[in-house]
Amino acid sequence: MQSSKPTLDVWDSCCLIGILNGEKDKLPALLAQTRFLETGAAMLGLPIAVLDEIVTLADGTSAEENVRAFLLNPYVLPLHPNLEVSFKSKSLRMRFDSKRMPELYDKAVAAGVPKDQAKKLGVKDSEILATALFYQAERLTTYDPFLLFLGREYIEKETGMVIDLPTSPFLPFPDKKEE
Amino acid sequence: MPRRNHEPKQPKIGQGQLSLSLKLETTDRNRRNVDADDFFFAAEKWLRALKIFAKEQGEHVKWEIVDLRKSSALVEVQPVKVKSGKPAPQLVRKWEQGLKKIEDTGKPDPKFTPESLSALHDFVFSIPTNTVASFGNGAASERHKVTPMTQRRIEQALAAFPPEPRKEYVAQGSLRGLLAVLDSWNPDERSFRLKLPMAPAKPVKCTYRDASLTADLGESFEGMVEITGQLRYRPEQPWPFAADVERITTLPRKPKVSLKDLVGLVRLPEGQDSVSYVRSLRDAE
Repeated sequence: MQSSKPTLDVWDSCCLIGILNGEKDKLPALLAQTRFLETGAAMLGLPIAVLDEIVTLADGTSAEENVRAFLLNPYVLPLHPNLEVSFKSKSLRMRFDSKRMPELYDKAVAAGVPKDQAKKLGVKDSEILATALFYQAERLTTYDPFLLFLGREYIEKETGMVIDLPTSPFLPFPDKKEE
Repeated sequence: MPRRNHEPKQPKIGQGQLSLSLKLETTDRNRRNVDADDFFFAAEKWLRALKIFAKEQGEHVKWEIVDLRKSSALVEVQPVKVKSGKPAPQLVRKWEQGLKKIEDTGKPDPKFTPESLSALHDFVFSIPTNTVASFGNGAASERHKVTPMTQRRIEQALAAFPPEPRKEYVAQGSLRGLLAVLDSWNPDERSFRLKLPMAPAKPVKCTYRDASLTADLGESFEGMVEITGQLRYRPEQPWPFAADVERITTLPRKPKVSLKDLVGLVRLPEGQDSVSYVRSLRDAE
């Protein structure tokens, strides 16, 4: 492990499930993160809400043992909810609801979010977002269109945390930095 | 006879005896009557906001119903001093003025303390769906609706108050880090320090009672472990500053299974990818 503080990259469930499901459009970018994780440049933050969805999916399948072993890796950081996460999650849900923020729906739809997902931030999504914010993650990696929209429109400007697909190079390769 | 667009004037309560009203209407054209549960729920929150407002103003009043009508669903109350039985119109004026300022500017008004503003916030955000609520002061022409803008302004005003200082708190959970230094073998105060990857400069003081927890660690010193127990947090701090350890799990030093090893181990239902699968899970909750 490096002596300096690594980058905290929080993954939404769709990232790990995309790997488990062998989705070819997602694999290259997601697997490219292995290099950062295994060199200690980054930690993989997994909110308990995400872990719950992954473990439930793998439970009773041939994937169970490998998923369990993967989660014990020293670069995997389970991120627990606590009081502050709960309050933050509630505030996010109150805020990102088109009933209270009338312009939200139109903006989200204009940004390409499907209409049925553009009305408000869901319970689990807000818990994951609140967890990433509370633990001061540099990044929340997701493919969810509404979370991506919120990131670009509000969260990144207000907090500095990036919400994006795993394509953008948020870190220089550790060995490149040393060159 | 001239046509009247506005509601009929309310009967006057009397000089200086101002009142406040709450009116609920349904937006469902097929069902004109307001659901009783919705009405009493909103009315209870509204009355609570009025009571807290009065209390914070130092007024010992009770709220008497001076009008109650089914036409939509309207309740009108006035504050009456408990001691003298006389109305307290100044309280109504202060409420009206404070509310107007907040609605106009989104800034807190001195008439509303954090507690009374919080109760007002609670009321405006608990108005049942498919229902329109209106504030009033006894005069029908001065009734106005609680809109998303009203909610927003009240939320802004509430956010403008500095947050109240909060205390340390405890949560059950687990934490991963480097088991760095064994501080004390004293049976009454066994402890070690856990160095967190994300906060290396702030090691967590971990106390434990069961000596066997560390006796079996062996090579795990200076390796990654996961501790489980009661984690003690300071407000606004993402990582705990102390922990009462109940269990220690040694983590492998090197990854045994990497991300690559997980590829294709699960097959999602036909036609679903990871994004639609996760969405269907979460929408079903």
